[in-house]
Amino acid sequence: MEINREDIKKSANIAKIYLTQDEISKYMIDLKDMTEEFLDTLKELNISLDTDFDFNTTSLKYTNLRQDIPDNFNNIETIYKNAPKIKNNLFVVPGILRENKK
Amino acid sequence: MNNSELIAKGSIKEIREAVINGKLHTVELVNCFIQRIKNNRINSFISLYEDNALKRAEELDKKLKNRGKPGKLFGIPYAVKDNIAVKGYEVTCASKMLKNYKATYNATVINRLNDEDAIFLGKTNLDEFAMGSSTETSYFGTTLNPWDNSRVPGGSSGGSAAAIASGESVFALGSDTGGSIRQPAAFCGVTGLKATYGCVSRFGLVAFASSLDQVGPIGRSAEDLELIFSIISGFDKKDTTTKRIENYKVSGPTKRKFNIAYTNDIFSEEISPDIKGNILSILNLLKEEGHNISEVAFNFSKHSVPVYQILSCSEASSNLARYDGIRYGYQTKSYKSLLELYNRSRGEGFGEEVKRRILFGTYILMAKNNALYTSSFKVSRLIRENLENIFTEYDVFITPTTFNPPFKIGEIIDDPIRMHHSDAFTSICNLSGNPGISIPLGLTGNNLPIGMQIIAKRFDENNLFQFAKYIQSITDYHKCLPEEVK
Repeated sequence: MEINREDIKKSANIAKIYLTQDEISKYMIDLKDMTEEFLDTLKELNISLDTDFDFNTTSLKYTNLRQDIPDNFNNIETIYKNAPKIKNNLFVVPGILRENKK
Repeated sequence: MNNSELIAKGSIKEIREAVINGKLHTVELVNCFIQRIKNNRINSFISLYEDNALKRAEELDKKLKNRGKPGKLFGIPYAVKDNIAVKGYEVTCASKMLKNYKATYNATVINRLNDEDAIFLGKTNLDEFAMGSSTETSYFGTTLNPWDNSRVPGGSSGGSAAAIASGESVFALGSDTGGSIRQPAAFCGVTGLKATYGCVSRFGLVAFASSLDQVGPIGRSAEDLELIFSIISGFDKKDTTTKRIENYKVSGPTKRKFNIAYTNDIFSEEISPDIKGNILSILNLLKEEGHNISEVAFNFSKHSVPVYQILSCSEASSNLARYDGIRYGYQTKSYKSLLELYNRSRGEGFGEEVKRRILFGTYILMAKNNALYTSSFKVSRLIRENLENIFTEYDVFITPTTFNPPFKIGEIIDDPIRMHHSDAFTSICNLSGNPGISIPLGLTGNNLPIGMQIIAKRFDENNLFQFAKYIQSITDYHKCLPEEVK
C-alpha cells in the first residue's frame, strides 16, 4: 500500500493537526511501515479484504441507548475556569467574517 | 505482622481490620503512604493531594469514634490513573493538551470507592492519553520500574503499577484498552485486572477507544482485586455500555479441579526462556495438584496487534477530535484564523505518539482504506469466536502477559511496531470483550518480574478470580517485593 506525503497532509488536514515538514516525513515512514506490516499479517488469515461486513452482528447492536433528555448542569463556573479565554461568559474565538468585511 | 509490615504487605482486609480495631490510625496509615510517595524517585505520581488525603483520614477517624458503619474499604488509600476524573482535581492524561485541566465531576468508579470509605491519594503517571506501553510518551517524564530503575514499568498504566510495586498505595485504578493494566502489572510484579467489557462504568474515564476501554484495579493480590471489582462493577445509567448484571459477590476458597487450557504460543521462540520456564513450572504444579491441563492452538496472538491498532486508532481519531483549544485545554499563542487556532493548538498540544495514532486512524477511516477497517472487525469476531470455543471445554485460558520482561528505557521508543508488539496477548481480551487478569509469576535470572495472563469466559469473573486466588494460595509469587520496599 503506497503512502505518500499527500496522504499525510490530507490526514493532518482532516484531523486538524499542524505538522512541520520534518514531521510529515517521519509520519509518512511510520504509517507506511505500520500499514504494510498490518496488511501482511492480516493477509495470512486468508480473509477477504473487502468492505462487506454486517456491523449489526457486532456487540454494537447490544448497546442500550438512553433517551436524549436535557438536564440541568449546576457547575457552569468550573467549565469557564477550564477555558483558555472567556468573555461575558462566552468562549472567545477569532472572527471568521473579518476578511469578508474588509 | 507489625504495622510497617502490614502497610507494606497487608491485604485490604487485613489493613481495614487493623484500622477498625484501632491497631492502626487512618491518619498514620495515610501519612506513611504520603512519605513513601515523597521519598520515592520513580516518578509514579503526577500529582499528590496530601492535604485532601489527611483531611479525609481525619474525617474517617471521627466517623469511627462516632460509631459510624465502616465501609468495605474503610481507610484504604488508593491512587488513580490520571485519565480518570476526580472532581476538582487535575486530569491531565499526561498531556500538554490537558495540563492544568480540572475535572468538573467524579467518575462513577471514584464515587463507588469513596462511598466505601477509601482515601484518594493522588493521580498516577501514564502514557499520553493512555497511548503507549512504557510511560515514555508522558508529558511529565517516564516512570521508572521499581525493580530496575533503568527499565520501563510498562504502560499505559505504568504509574499505577509502579506505585503498587513500590509500596506507595494499597491499590490503584488504571484503564485498559489493549493491555494497559495487565502489561504494566506484569512488568512491575503486581496483579492487574481488565474485567469483561460492560462490567465497569467508563463514565469519567477520558475516552481513547470507547469500544475497548475498561477501568480496572491494580493491586497486591487477586483477593484484593476481587473486592475492588465487587465495588466498582455494575450497571451505571451514565454509561450505556454497562450491563444490568447482578451485584458481584466475592467468592470463597475452592477445592474444585479446574479445566485449564494454555496457548501453544508459549513454545514460540519469541517468548523469553524465563517466562516460558516459569509458566511451564506452574502448569506442572497444577497438574500435580490434579487439575486438567491441555495445550490449545490459539492462532490469533500474531493478528491481534494489527486489528487492535487499526480499530483503536480509528476510534481515537474521532474521540480526540474534541480537543480544539477553545473550550478547554492547551491553546496556541500563534494564530491568525480559527482554522489555524485548531491546527496549531492540536499540533503543539499533542505529543508524537498521540499525533501518530490520530493520523493513522484518520488515514484508515478514509474511504479508500475501508477494507482494512472492516477486515479488522472480521478478525476481531474470529478472535471472539475462537475464545468462545475454548470456553465450551475449559474454565480458564492461560497465556503469557508479555513476550519479554520489562525492556530498557529508550530501547524501543523509536520503533512503534516493536512497541505495539507488547500488546499481542493482552489485546486479545479487549477485542473479544473477555476478562483477563495478569498475576506475578516470579522473577527472571536478572531479578525482573514475570507475568502470566488468565482469561475467562465473558461475565465469568467469578471463575477468573477463583482460579487466580487458587494459584496465589499455592504460590508466593505475588508476595515478592523489590529490595527497597522489603
